[in-house]
Amino acid sequence: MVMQSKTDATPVIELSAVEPQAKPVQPKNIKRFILVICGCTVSLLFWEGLCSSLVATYRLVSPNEHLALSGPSVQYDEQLGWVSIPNFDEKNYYAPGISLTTNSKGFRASQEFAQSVPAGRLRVICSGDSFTFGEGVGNDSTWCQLLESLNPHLQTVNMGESGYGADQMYLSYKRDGAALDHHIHIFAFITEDFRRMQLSSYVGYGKPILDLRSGNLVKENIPVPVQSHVLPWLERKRLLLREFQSVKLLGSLVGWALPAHDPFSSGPTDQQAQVIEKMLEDLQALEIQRNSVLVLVCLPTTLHDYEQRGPTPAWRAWIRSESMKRGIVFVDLVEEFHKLPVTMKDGMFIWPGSVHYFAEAPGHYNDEGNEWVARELYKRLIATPEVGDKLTAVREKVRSERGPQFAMVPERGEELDRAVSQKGSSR
Amino acid sequence: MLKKLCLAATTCVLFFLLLEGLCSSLIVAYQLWSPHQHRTLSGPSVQYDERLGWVSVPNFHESNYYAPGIYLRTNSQGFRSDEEFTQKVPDGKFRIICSGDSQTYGDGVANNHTWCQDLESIDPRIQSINMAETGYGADQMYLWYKREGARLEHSAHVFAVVTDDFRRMPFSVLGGYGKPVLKLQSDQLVTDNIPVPRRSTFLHWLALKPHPLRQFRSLAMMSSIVEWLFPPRDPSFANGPTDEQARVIDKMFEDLVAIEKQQNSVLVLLYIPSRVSDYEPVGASPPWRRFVREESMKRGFFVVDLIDDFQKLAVTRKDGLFIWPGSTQYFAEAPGHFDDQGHEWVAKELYSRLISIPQVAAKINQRSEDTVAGSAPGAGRANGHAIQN
Repeated sequence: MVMQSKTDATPVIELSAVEPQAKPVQPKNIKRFILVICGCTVSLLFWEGLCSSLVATYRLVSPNEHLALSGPSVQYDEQLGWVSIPNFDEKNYYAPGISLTTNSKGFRASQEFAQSVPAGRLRVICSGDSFTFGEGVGNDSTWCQLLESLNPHLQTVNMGESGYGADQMYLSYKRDGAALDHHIHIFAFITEDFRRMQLSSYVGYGKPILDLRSGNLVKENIPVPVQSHVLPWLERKRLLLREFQSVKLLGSLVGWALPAHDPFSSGPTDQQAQVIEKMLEDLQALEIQRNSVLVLVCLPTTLHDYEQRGPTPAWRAWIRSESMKRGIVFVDLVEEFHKLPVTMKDGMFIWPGSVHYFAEAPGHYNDEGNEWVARELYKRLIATPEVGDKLTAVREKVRSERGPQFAMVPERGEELDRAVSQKGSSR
Repeated sequence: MLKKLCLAATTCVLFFLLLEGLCSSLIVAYQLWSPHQHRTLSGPSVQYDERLGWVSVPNFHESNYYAPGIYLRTNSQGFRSDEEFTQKVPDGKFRIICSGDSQTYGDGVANNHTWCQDLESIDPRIQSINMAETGYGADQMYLWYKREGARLEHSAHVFAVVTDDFRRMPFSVLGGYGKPVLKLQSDQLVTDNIPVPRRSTFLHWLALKPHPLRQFRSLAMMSSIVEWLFPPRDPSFANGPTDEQARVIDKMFEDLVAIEKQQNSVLVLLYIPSRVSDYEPVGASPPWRRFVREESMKRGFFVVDLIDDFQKLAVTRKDGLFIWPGSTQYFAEAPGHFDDQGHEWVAKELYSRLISIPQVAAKINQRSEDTVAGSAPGAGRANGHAIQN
């Protein structure tokens, strides 16, 4: 405000008049400010929740996210729960160019197998779960198939099936594998395969259960009840519910706050041990009848920090002592796997977010993983006298049939065999 | 009654959405602030450099840098190496200098698993020097080599690029750091924006955060929708170099060829596949690869282009060559870079191409023969010695 002085014409500015008066902050304004902040935060959280739910719902219902056990390659089986559909062939099953082919017996193979072994070959049957089946990789890239490329004298039969427990692997082999002549039976398992033995349904399918009655193995839950298509779908969706961040976070918090005691972590109970012992005894008897070698293989997985914790150590120790007791060859690849750097280990598995779009593939071996298993297993196999002798016999037989002029020509895989046996003898 | 039911259902849905939003935000906040999520360019291994923007800290050593047991070590020259290099090449060795960006540097893998180092394991006659730096453009690779690499005697210089290294060239800021820019003045290459202005630590942090921010599903979804509605177009880059870019790069290659000639060394341009540009035979790579091939014909250097071979691999094989989010390697910047298998693949492919170059094969064999003919035991040992702890 400008005022005119009575004595002087110079305008006098009354400072107090132009200074803004410091108004006390009204509690009402603070309240309003807090309300606005809270409103914005809640709106943002609401918006994030809406988007997150939309993304999770999309993943839940996305047709690309089909899983093997509810996918078109698997069908109901009253003895085993489920099996691969015979003569199934889809070129882009797992990803563009990554095929899944089964033969007329439902084995993962592009060829048929006669009962007798072709001349000059050593037949290897690979029993196993999805890690043997080769979830996420092409037929030619499974470790079982890769054994053939390491030694052309081998003929491998991939009898792996996704989701199988050790009991189903055993029953499947007894029904379809034992009918084929063979020299080696690789029974490849991950620790979880023993947990599955106790279940009467898995991923929405029913399954048989092995039990002991009067010291004999009996199958229960047979014929396996047919379950509706809705159940596998629901089971799959239940697993995919963790796409919701709230389910994921709350699940982790509950797991952290109330760590569940997992009796499976301590190894087999007495009853489980008796069933598995009987199963191994039966398998061994079958192999002796066939003049074949039984090889148990423990495969590494990404679970429990790459198997350092959890149930694997106890189960591996038990299997080791059991195989020693029975004189069964046991190849423990988990031990070898632990020695690798984490970067190498990571590079052996399919990870979520990779280009492979098959929902169940993450966590399984990629091409490199299958190659690693094949190489390590092959090295151990040929270092085993029972297997090494069989291979040498086949090789000698082929050489003698080809004539003396080829006697000194080394064959594919022979150099590796020699290197391994030299390493073994130097020890 | 129905009204009450509807109200209860709506309340439940709203409550769930709010809870989902809260949980999602908490997870992202944890990921953003987690101490494990530090990135190379803002990590402790990098420091400001007034000529190049940033360089590795010399004599840096951290045993668990990328993941438990996966170490990062630099020598006194700031090269990613466990050993020191003298000016002279050790007797009987064929020294290769590898210039490059993070794919050559080996983000996410240990020193002894980078493709440059793998060359030594494939052929012990090779001594390789990893002169790569994370985030470098082709211009910075060239400038660093001129400053530090050209002083070292060597028999081959592998200048390894991914397509994006050319995109980075015109930038004066990258990853929150300032960087030099190469320009032509009176037909001469000049380095602009030097001394590179210093930028605050906060800016590095901020510049490197946008990607993790996409962990918010709302942001990820909205940006996907925006990208779908308005697909990003970069016609100038997708069509290969502009005339000006071509002249700058041509001059750079001319200069590199001249340096190698002086050194009696072989210049090899290695075109490396990346997950971003080269999974599919589309994108910006084809015109740039063509340009590089034409340049090599014009200037007389060798090109080893691994992209064709990469594209022939099955997708399962390609996937296995890279680090993916969610894997145990917890270093946030590592995903997208080669894993151990990826580096091995690059090294094997490169080595088989290198020895098919007559000049390289002759030099490698010459080196070995020289050693057999006249070397005293232990000769040249001082030229490559391990760094002492």
